[in-house]
Amino acid sequence: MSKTMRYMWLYACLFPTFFFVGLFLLYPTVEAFRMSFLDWNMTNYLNPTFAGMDNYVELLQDPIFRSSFIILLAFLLWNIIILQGASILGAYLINYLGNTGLAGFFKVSFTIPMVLPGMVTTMFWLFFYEPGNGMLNHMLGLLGLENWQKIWLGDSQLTAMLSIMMKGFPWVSGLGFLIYLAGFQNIDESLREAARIDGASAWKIFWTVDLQLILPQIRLTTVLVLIGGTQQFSDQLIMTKGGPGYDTMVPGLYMFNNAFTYGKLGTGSAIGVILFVITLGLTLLNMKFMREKR
Amino acid sequence: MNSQRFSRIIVIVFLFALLFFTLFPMYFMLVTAFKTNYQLSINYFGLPLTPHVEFIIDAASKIGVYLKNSLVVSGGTVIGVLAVSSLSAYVFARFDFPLKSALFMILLSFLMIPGILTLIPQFVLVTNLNLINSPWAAILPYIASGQLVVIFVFRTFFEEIPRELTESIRMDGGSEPVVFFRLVLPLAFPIFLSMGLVNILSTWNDFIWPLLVLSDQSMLTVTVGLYRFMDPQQIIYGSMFSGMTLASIPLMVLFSFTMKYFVQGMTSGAVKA
Repeated sequence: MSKTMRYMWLYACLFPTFFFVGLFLLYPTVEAFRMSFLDWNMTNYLNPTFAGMDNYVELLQDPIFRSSFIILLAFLLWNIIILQGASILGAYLINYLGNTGLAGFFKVSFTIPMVLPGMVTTMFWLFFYEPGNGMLNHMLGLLGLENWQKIWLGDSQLTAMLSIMMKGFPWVSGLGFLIYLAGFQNIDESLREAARIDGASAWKIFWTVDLQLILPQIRLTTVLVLIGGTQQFSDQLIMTKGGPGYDTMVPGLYMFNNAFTYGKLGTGSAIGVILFVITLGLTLLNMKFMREKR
Repeated sequence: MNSQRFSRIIVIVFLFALLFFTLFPMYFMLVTAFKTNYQLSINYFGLPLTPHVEFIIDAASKIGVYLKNSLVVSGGTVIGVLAVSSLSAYVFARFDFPLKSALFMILLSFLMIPGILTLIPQFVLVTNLNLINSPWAAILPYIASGQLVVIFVFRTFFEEIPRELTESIRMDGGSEPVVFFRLVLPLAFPIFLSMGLVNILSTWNDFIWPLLVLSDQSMLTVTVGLYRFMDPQQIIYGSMFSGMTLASIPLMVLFSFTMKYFVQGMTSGAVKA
């Protein structure tokens, strides 16, 4: 086979991949930027007009959009500190049990809910907060605390935010859990042993040995949570629709609403571009970290 | 020694408490699937004393279509992703050709394009292609973004297959396709399974995209179908929890046989992304 012929074959094998990337990733990426400069809504759907930076300027002056970033930040901080803390704790305690059957049992049992469809979990929590027959109000009733009962997802910003945040309690199950468990299991037992001989308490060993050695995993999952969490809005869409008012509105949901509820495709695209710039910054920062580590 | 034993017991008790809260929703879902609204109100947490199976039957008639739609979307995506990525990854792993590293870098750079940026233009594109309410509206974009990590993982794996093995088949007169199908694919079976499972889970669970492009009642996937299941006017909890239970079964069954591969796939994909 001639060399040119051979190359043609190889490029032909790569064609499907690049066809998909070109049509469904590259083209929409370029389009997202172009659309963000258009005045494009339902009334002029067939004839969008060029609007320059108008969409961006409007967004920066939009109080709902601005507050959505504060709300997003609260969710992200919660996810990074509490959710990660829970999976680190769960993984650490299972690893503490050593190589026993019980540890294996816990590992498998905590993995099971991961394969539950996400919507099933969300619906359970929706039911949990439901005002009429929901579990939370029911339990408060059993405890004689009827006056504590609330429309949890709609009462106030505080109850709505906390309700969404508490979803998934106790947050052990998940990808982070698997990553941390693998991390803890890779730690050489002799390191802990050495600290023990030096008279360090279990608590001290956890802070000085275990936690230090899983820092790369913590960094990895933090970045994953940041990048994923910035884009995530289905919990808010399903549970509160961003309400009450705009009290749980995150940028992703605001983008979704602008594009698909209000039909403002230009404004929606501009929000998409802004979120892209943020996640790109986070990704590049992460790559810099990774390189420094090596 | 005694104190160590004591702390061990504390840890075990604590883990069982965490596990209780983790698995409780599944228990509650299962028992409520067999209760009437009245039974729920008088016996909230307990086992149903006279189980009602009519909700499961009713939910099955509705959710069967959703399950079939999800199967088409996830199945189509997984087949597509594995086919497209194994081909590309093999070419990148085993051959030299002009622009090789540039092309690979281009692919990698698309890992940094978040789904949220392309959501709206992808929707416009799929609408213009007349794919709305066709399973392809989900399958094709899923393949496009799903293949990237898989190509990366496969390439590393293919590069580690010893050259002597492929050479020996070539010596025997085997052509390149023979090498690929007879040697490489069987060796790669576990990693195919891992990546396939991760893809099934992510496409099965996706909510926003099918909500947008598969909105026709007959095209709904399980996630969106369940969402529509909740009729806020008159919630029959037995039906709702029956639907949730039935929707959980297919993945539960699939993953109970393949847990090991799934865990490997989740962790390797995450580390490399």
